[in-house]
Amino acid sequence: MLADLNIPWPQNDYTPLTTAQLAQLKNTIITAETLGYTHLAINFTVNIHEIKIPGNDINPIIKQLDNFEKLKEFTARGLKFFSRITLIIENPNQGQNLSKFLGSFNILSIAPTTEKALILACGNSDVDIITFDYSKRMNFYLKHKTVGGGVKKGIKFEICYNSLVSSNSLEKQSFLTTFNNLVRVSRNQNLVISSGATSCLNLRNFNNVLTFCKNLGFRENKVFKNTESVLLGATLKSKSYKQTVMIGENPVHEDVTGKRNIKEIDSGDVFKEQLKRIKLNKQATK
Amino acid sequence: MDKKYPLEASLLSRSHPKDKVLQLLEQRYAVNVIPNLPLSPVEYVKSSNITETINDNTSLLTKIRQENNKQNRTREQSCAKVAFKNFIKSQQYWQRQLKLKIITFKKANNVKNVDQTKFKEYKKLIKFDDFLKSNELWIDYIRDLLQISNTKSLQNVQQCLIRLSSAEYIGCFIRVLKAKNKQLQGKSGIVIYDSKNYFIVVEKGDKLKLIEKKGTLFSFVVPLFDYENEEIDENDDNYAEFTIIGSRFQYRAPDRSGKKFKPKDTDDLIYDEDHSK
Repeated sequence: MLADLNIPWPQNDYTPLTTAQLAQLKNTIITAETLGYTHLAINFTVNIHEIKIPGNDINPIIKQLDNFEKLKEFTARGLKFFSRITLIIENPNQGQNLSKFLGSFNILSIAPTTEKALILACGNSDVDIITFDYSKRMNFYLKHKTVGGGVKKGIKFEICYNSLVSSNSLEKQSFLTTFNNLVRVSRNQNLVISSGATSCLNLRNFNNVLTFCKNLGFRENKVFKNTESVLLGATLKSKSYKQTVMIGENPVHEDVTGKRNIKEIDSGDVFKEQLKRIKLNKQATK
Repeated sequence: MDKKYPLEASLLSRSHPKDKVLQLLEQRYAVNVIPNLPLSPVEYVKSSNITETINDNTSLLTKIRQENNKQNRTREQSCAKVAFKNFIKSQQYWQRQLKLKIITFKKANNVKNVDQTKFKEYKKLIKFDDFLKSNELWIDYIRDLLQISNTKSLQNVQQCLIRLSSAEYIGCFIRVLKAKNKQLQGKSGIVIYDSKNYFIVVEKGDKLKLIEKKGTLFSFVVPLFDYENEEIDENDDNYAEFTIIGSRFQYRAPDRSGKKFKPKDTDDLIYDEDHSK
């Protein structure tokens, strides 16, 4: 299983996509598929302070992708799509009410731009991922105490390699500094690597990125586990009741809603035999 | 007088006969006397020895001790929890004995397949067939709880999951889907007790098994059709499958009913074999 948790949605507000943007998104999905990714999360980034969020139909991705006929080909071939929202938060007072996003998006992430906003994000257990803007120089200093609090709660921190690949040298510089800061502060724990590719040419083979990051001092080899953990938590929100009882047996890989064939179930013959045994026993006692 | 000053009486009774104890106690609380207790040294006697040498003039202290002992013993024997514990221990003991005997029997006679029902230890084991009725009752109960009628479908999956989280699982036929402990993988059986940390299960080969909840996924199946009157082979499509996440399920059934569960970090729910897929 190989997952990319950040394929950006081309629009940053609720206006519908143009045909050019749609073609661009399609191209990135095709290249991701040829590079071997099986699970893709489409990321809708919103600045809370600039854009008003409507009362209903918060999620533009599901609504517009239904018309996108090419997508059905991918899903038929086994590609899985998730929807993700990233909230850019400056003032922590406005980022209090996050519960309305939980129902309509699979993954909820926060991109804090100030230190106070980071403290808010690390303290909130609804948040799945915390990201940073890697293309600009960060205007605050990361501390182990705040980030460690998030690590203890199981929040993942994201590394986007898009600005590393870009042609602008300033972006590369700022990526390296924030990357080094994050690795130092989080002690190599709970880190997730994703693309954030704005065009299809910025996608890379995952193993290449991983070896590059290892050269820079990224030690832990739990990246695969961390990405899967994010997807599992996202799917368990809808497919289980508070992580106690879930429907189906593997929520990330399969899509079960209600009815199921006994032959698809893992060793379903055992259950079938048991039913037959009860029936025989009941007839015998009569 | 004994009832009025039980402590003094019991102390005096160790060194004096009964008549003198009463006399001394009367003197003790007389008006112009400084209160005192005339005691004489006694040899130390073990409590077990005291019970053997019971006479008419046994001291009060030993009597109290004997009564306490009796009470404790009866409480231990009558407590259901202790009795159940002993039952499980004895089952495990007989299972081990039977296994040993079969091995020695195979070596001695050079036989590959042995019928375990021949041995006398087998008679003391718990029987799988006795619990078929409880499984039958459980299926009726769960079909009632999830409101499965003749429609052959689940209505409102979220509501079903909420009900299942506070349901009773004694009598359910469960199977271990994945486990951190590789030895448990693929075990199946009928639940006979649902404790805080374990599911106690009767396996098909008449064996009692304790399966730890932590780090284990249990799957079970609910038939969506009327299995008594319809053919089972024709209705392969109509099943609903659910999985219990054992690590988040570590409560007894009565504690679980009013519990507010909290979703946590999912790092511990990932199993190593998933990465190969």
